[in-house]
Amino acid sequence: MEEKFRWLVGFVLDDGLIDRLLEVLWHVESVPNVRQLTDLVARR
Amino acid sequence: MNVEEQVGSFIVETRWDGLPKAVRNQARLCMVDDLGAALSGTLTRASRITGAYAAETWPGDEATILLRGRRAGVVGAAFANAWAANAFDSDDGLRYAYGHGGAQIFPTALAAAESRGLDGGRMLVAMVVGYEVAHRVGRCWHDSRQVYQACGSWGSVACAATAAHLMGLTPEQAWGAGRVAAAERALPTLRAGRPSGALRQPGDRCAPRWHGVPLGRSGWGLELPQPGLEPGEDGGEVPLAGGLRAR
Repeated sequence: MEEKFRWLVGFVLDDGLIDRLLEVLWHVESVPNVRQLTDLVARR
Repeated sequence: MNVEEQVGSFIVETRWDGLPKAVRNQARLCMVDDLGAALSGTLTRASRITGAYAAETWPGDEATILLRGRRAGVVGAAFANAWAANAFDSDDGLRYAYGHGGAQIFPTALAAAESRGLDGGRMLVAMVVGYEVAHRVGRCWHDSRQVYQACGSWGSVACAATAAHLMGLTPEQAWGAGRVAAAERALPTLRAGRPSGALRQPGDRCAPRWHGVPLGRSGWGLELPQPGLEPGEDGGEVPLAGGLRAR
């Protein structure tokens, strides 16, 4: 799944941001506010 | 406890700590899959159009329209992100419902959770609720109908359940939201369906009646779970109740 995600998202975000995003996603149940996730993907 | 109470309680009272580990892992995978599809889908013209339309039609600061640098009301953000999520058809498919679930459920959960400042665990649980309802309603309807049940039919109910969980409705209100979704949104889609077995034919490429109608569901599902909304007189005859009882 991570490979698919990296391939698809690689068209719109750089590798550094994808790494940060995946770090949040794999532990999203520990994120106190979903806004922390959406802030990462608000703009290109 | 009757079926209405069971379903309503499941929608409202499901908690992260009560989910099996396998379900938690699957929820994370679905979320990653859905978000990946949505982010890449923002490259499409359809996403650009629906993003602009959503910001104009449902203005607000409640939730994020992905990668557009724009915000909108919660319904608008869910609507725009749902279009993006299905734009390349790279999103998940539900084996028992025969259609796209995540492209409707995830944007609903994301927008509703963001608008309420909820944590990631609550969002994941709402997705689990949505997927479970989608699978069960889709399977029941396909078992009892001779026409294909398009994504937006059972998807409406799934999105209503997803939103109801995050909006903190009571079990009774959550059941009512599902009935309204089934009665007011699903049936017109069913009438546009095609004979069972013809799930996809050569030349089917996101035709408006095929995907466009369903993808409105993510937004409509969010509009439905308002306390006080009740289904119309024919709401009780929607196959949801009968199908669930049969199970």
